[in-house]
Amino acid sequence: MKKIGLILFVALFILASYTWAHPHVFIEGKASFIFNKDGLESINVEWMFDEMFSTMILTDYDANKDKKFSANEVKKIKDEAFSNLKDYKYFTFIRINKKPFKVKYVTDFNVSMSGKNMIYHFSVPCHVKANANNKELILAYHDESYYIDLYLSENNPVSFQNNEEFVTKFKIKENDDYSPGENTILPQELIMKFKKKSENHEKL
Amino acid sequence: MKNYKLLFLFTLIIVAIILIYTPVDIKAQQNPFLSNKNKKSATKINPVQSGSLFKGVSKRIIPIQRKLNKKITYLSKRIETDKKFMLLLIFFSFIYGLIHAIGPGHGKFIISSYFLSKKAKPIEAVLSGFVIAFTHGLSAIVIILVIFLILHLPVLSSLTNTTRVISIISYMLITGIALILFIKAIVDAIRNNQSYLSEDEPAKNKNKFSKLPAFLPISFITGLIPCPGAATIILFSLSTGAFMVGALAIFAMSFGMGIMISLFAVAALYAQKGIMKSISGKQAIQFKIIIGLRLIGAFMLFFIGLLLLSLTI
Repeated sequence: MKKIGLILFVALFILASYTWAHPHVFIEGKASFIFNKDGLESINVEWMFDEMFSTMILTDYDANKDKKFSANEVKKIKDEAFSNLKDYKYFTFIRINKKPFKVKYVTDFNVSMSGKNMIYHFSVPCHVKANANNKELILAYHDESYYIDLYLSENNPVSFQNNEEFVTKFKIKENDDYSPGENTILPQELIMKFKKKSENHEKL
Repeated sequence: MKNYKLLFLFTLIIVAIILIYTPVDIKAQQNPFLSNKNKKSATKINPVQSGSLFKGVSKRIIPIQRKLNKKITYLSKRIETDKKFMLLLIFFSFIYGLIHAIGPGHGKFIISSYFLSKKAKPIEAVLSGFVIAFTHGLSAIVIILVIFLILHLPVLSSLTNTTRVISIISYMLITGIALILFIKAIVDAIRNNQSYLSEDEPAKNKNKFSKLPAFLPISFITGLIPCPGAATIILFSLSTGAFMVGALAIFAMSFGMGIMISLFAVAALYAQKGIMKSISGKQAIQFKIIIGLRLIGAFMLFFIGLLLLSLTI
C-alpha cells in the first residue's frame, strides 16, 4: 500500500507538472491563399470560435444586440480582444521553403457571425514569388499556452484565390518532429506547394 | 530501509522537477486575447516537453475536450425544449470536469504540497479536493452573476480583472500559510515536539480559531480563483435564459474536477504515510523525516505562492 501510494504520488505529480490538455476556448481554423501575378501575396485567416466564447464576445461587444458587429464594434474587439495576440505571433506559424517566416503584423481584421459562432478574419501579408519550381509553405495555428485549442477545420480548411496562373497543391498532416512555436502537443500542419503555370490545385 | 531511502530521495528529485516545471500552471490560466500587462509570463515561460508520454496522452485528451465542449453546448440548448437531455448534460459535464482538471491549475500542486506535509485522514484529503473544485465553480458563478446581472460590466475584461485581484489575495494567503507551516515545523524541530508521530490526531493540530477542519482554509483559498471554463458555461446559460441548466452543468463539472484534485491530495497523503510506515518503530528517524517532509511541503507551498504572486501582480 505504502509503495503504491508513493508511486501514485510520484506519477501524479509528474503529470501535474506538464502542460496537459487544458483549453478554455476552441477555434476551428481555415486558410485562404491569395495570389497575384507574381506569386503568393497573402494568407486570409479565418478562425471560428466555439459558441460559448462567441457568446462572451457578443455579450461584451455587440452593443446594439443585433447579433452582428458594426465597424465600431469590430474596432473595439480588435483593440481589446485581438491586438494582444501580437505577443503570441497571432498563433500563426509559417515556414517558407523550410525557413521560418515571422508574422509581425496582420491586416484587414474583421469579425462576423456564422449562426451562433463568431469568426475572426484577418490577413497575413506573405509575398513569395513563384517560378517553375515548387515553393513550399507550411502553416500551423497554435497557442503555446493551450488556453486556446486551435485546429484546422474538417470542412474545407483550405481555399485559393487568383491562382489561375499557378499549380497549387496542399495537404494536412501531423508532424511530431517539428514545432511551429517552441513546442506543440498537436502539431497539425497545412503544407501548401505552388509553382508557375497551368491548372488548378489538387490534393497531394 | 535502503529501498525507502532511495524512494525518499526519488521523491525529493520529483519535487525538484515540479519546481522546474511549475510555471506551466500560470501560463495556462491566462486568456491570450486580452491585453496582458504582465508580458513576462506571457512570452517567456514555456517548458512544454515534446516527444513525451504526456504529449501522446494530451493528443488524445484535447480532441475529447473539443467534442465535450460542443456536446455540452448542444445539450444546454436542447434542454430548453426537451428536459430528457438533462441527464446527458450532467454526465458529459462530469466527464468534462474530470478531464479538464487533469490540466494545469485547479490547485493540484498546492493541495498536494499541503498533504505531503500535513497529518490528516484520507477523507480530509478527498474533501479538500471537492472543496477546491466546488469553490472554484461557485466562485465563477457568483462573479459572473455580479458582473453581468448586477453591475452590468463588460464580462471578459471584468472577469479577468476580478480573477487577477482574487488571485493576488489567494496567493498572498497561500504564501502566508506556507510561512506559518514552515515556522511551525522549525519550532517543532527545535522543541522536539513529536506529536505528529502519534496515531491519534492531537487536539492542538486542529485549527485553534474555529472548529473547522485544518484543511478547509487552504482548500477554500485555493478554490476561490474562478474557473474560466465554468464562467464561460454560466454566461452561456444566462444568455440562453437557462441559468439553472448552467449551474447544474457546473455542479457536475465541479464533481468531476473534485475527483481529480482529490486524487492528487490523497496520493500526496499516502506518499507521506508510506514513507512514515516504512520506518515504523524508529521514532528518531521518523521524527526527522516528518520534519523534513513538513519543511519540503511548506517550501513548495511558499515557492508556488510566491511565484504565482510575482507573475500575477
